[in-house]
Amino acid sequence: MKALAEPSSFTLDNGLTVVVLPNDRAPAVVLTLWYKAGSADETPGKSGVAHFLEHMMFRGTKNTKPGEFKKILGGLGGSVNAGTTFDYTFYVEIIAKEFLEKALSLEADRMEKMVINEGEFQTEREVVLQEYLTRIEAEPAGKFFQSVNAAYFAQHPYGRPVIGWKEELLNLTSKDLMDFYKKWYAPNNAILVVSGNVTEKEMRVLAKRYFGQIPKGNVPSRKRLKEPSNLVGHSKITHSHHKYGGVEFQNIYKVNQFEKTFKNYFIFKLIESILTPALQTVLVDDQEIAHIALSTYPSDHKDPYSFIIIAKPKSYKNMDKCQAIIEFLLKKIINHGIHEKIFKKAKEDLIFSLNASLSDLDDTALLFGTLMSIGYKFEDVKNWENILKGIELKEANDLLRSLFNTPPAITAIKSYGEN
Amino acid sequence: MKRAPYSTILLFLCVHGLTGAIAETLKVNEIFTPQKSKVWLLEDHSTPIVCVSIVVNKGGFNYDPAGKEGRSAIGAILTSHYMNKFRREMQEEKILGTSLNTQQGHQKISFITSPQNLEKSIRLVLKILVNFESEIKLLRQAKHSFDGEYLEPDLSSPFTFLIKRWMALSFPRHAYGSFVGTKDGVTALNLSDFKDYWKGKLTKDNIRIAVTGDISEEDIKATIDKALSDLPTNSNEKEINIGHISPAEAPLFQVFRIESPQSHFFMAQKGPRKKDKDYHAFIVLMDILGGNPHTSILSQEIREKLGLVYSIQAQPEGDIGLWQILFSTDNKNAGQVYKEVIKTLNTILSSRISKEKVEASKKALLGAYATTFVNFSGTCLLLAEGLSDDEPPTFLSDFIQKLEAVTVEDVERVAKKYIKPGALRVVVLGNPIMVAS
Repeated sequence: MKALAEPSSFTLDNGLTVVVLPNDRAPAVVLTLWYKAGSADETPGKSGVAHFLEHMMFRGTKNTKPGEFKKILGGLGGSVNAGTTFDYTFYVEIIAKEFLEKALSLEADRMEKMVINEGEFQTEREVVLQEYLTRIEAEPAGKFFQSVNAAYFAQHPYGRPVIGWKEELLNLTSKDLMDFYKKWYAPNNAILVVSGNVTEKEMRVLAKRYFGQIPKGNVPSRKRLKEPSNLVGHSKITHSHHKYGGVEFQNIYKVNQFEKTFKNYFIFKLIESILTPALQTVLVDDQEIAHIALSTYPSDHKDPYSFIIIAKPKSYKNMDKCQAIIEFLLKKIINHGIHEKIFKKAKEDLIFSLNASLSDLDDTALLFGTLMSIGYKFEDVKNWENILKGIELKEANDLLRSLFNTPPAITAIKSYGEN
Repeated sequence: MKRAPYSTILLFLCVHGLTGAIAETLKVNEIFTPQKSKVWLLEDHSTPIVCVSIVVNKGGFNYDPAGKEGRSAIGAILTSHYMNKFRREMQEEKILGTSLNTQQGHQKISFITSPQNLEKSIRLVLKILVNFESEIKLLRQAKHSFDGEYLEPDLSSPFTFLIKRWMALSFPRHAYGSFVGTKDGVTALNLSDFKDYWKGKLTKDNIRIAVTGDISEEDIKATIDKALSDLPTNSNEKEINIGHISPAEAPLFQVFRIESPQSHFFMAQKGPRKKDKDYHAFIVLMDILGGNPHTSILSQEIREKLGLVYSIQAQPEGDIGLWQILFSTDNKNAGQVYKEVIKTLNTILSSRISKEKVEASKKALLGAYATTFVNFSGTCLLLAEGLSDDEPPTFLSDFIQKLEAVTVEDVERVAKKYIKPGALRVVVLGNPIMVAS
C-alpha cells in the first residue's frame, strides 16, 4: 500500500514549482505556498525582516484591503496560517475544494502585488513587539534559546533569532520589508504544494491561470557564512529562573561534518528513534533519576544544525549522574554498534509513524513543502520510503560513531532554585 | 414563478456540490459482528493505517458515585500515568497517539495502529486497562493537581477555571456541575475506589467501536470479535440516568479576583441540545453572533471597530444545552466590553437578521465542515462522537442537510427563544473595572 496517492510535480515557465498530492478523502484542499527565504537570508543588522514581512502579507495588496485576505477566506469557512523559519516562509490555507480558486487568486495577488501602508506597518510593528514580549521577554526559555543559539553558531546566521533582535526590530523600516519582498518573493523562488481533493490536471490549469503571468524574479543565490570547521572545546551555558520548575539540560552536538543528503536525513531520524527509547529506559524507567530523556534531530534546516540529547533530571544533584549514564550509554552503542534487530525494528517503526503523520492532508503538504524548501528534490521526497528502507546498518553505525566521537559543543542547562 | 437571483442559484449549486461531495466521501458503514459488537467503519485506503476509537458506554462523569465526585477526572489522570508504563509494549504493536477522553455519560479510548496489527492492538490496550492499578503516591499527586486546577485559578488557562466554576454555580446539585469533581468528593477518594476501575466497564455489551482507515468490512468482522474475545460479555455496571436539567435561570455576575492585567469573561445560559430541532438554526445564529472571527457581529463591533479585545467568541454547547460567550480584555476596558456585548445581544433581538447574513453564515459553516475531514484521527473521533450520541450512521451528511434547511425565520425564532441578555450568568477572572450601570 502506497503511503501517498500519486504525487506529482511540474514547473511553470516563470519557475514556480507546483506539487500536487491528491487525496479525495475530504472535499477540501490544503494549499501551501513556500518562499525559500527566511531569517538566515536577512542582511546583518536587519534581523526580524522575514518574520515581520510574513505579518505584513496579510495587511493588503493593490487589490485587497488590510485584513481582507483572512476575511474572504474565513468567510468561506477556510482556515489561514503562516510561519517563518530560518530558511523559509510558508503560508497555509485549508479550504473546501469549491473555493480553491479563490485561495489561489489571493495568494498569487499577494505574491506580486503586496503593498505596505505606513500606518499599517507601524500598527503591525506593535503586534510583532507584543509577540516578542510573549515569546521572548516574558518567557525565560525563549530568551535562553536565543542565547544558546547565539553561542552555538560562531558566524552562521542561524545564530540570529527568527523574530529578530529587539533593538533591530525597533529600527526596521517599511522599505527594509519591501526590499526583502522584492528580493525573495518571486515564483522562481517559491513552491506551491497542494494536497487533498485535487488532481494534477486541475492544478496545471489553475496554477497557470493564477500564477502564470507573474514574472520571474531576479533572485540572488543564498550565500551564508559557514561555521568554521576547527572549533574545539566544550561550553556550558546555564540559566536559572523560577518559571523553569525543575532542571533540564541539553547536550548539543555539531553535525557540520556530515554531507547533506536525504539518506543522511533519515539516518539521523533513525538514530533519534533508537536513542530516545534507550535513554528513557535507562534514565527514566531503570535508574529513575530523570522525568524525561530523549534525543532529537531538528531537521527542517537547509544548512547543518545540530543533534541534541535532552534530559530532565529529577533534581539538580542527579544531573552529573544523568550525564555520566548518557556518556556510558553512548560509548557502549559506539563500541558495539546498533544491533541489527533494533535497526530493522527502528526502520519499520519510522516508516509506520511517518505514514501515520502522512495520513493527515495538512501534514502531508507541510512535509513536502518543508523538505523541498530546505533543498531536497521532489523525486527523493516522493520516494522517501524506499530511501529509508535502503539504509544499511553500517551507514548508520558510521554516522553514529562520527556524531558522538567528540563531546557536545555546548551543554545548556536550565534550572530553578537548587543550583 | 419568480426567478431566484443569480447569486442564490450559484450558492445553491455550490452548496449542493459540497453536499454531494461530502455524502460521497463519508459513507459510514454500520457493522454488527457475528458476536453482535457494533462497529462504525469509514474506509480510507489512501493511508496504510487505521484509527480506532473504543466508546465505553456506561462511564464518564455521570457515573461518579455520590460523595466521590471527581472519580472520573482523577481516574483519567491515573490511567494516563498507568498507560505510560506500557509505552514500549504499545510501540511493539505499533500503537501510536493513545488518548483517553471522558465526557458526561461515556469515555473514549483512541489510538492509531496498522491494519495488520488491529486485533493485537485492541487486545493489548484492553488488557492493559482491564489490569489497571495505581499507587497511593500517584493518587496524592492527582489530588494535589486537582486542588491546583480547581481551587487556584491558572492564568495560562483562565477559561478552564471559569467554565468549571460556572458549571458548579449553574448546576449546584447535579452531575453537570460537579463533572470535574468537588473538593469533598476528591478528598474522599482512596485507592480502593480505583480497584478494577476499567474492568467492569470493558465488556462486550458496554463498548462500541469506530474505525477509520485501511481496512474492509470483511476484515472488521473477522478481527473485532477476536480482539474482544477476552472480555466478559455482560457489564455489571448499572445504567445511571442522571436526568437532564437546564442551568439555573437567575442572572449571575461573579468575579474571582486575581492580580492580572487582564480580565477574562465567561457568560452562558440555556441553549438547545444537539438533538433539538432548533440546534442547527442555533449553530447559524451563534456563527453570526460570534463564531467566525472575521465576520461575526461581536468581532466586528468590539474588536475591529473599538479594538477592545483580541478575540471574542460565541458558541453553542450541544451536549448539555448551553450557549456561551468568552473574551479577555484589559481590566480598564472590562465594563465597556461587557456593555457592548449586552448591546449587541439586544440589537440581535430587536433588528431583523438579514437573509444575506444567514446565507453567508451557512456557506462558511459548510465550507469549514468540509475541512474537518482533512485530519485523519479527528475524523475517527467525530465518528466515535456520533456513536456515543446514538446518531444514525448517516449523521455526517445529515448535518449538512439540516444546516442547509435553516431559514432566516428559524434563526430569528431561536434568537428570541434562547437569548435573554437580562438573565446572563457571568463569571469573571481578573480585576475588572466595571462601568456603573
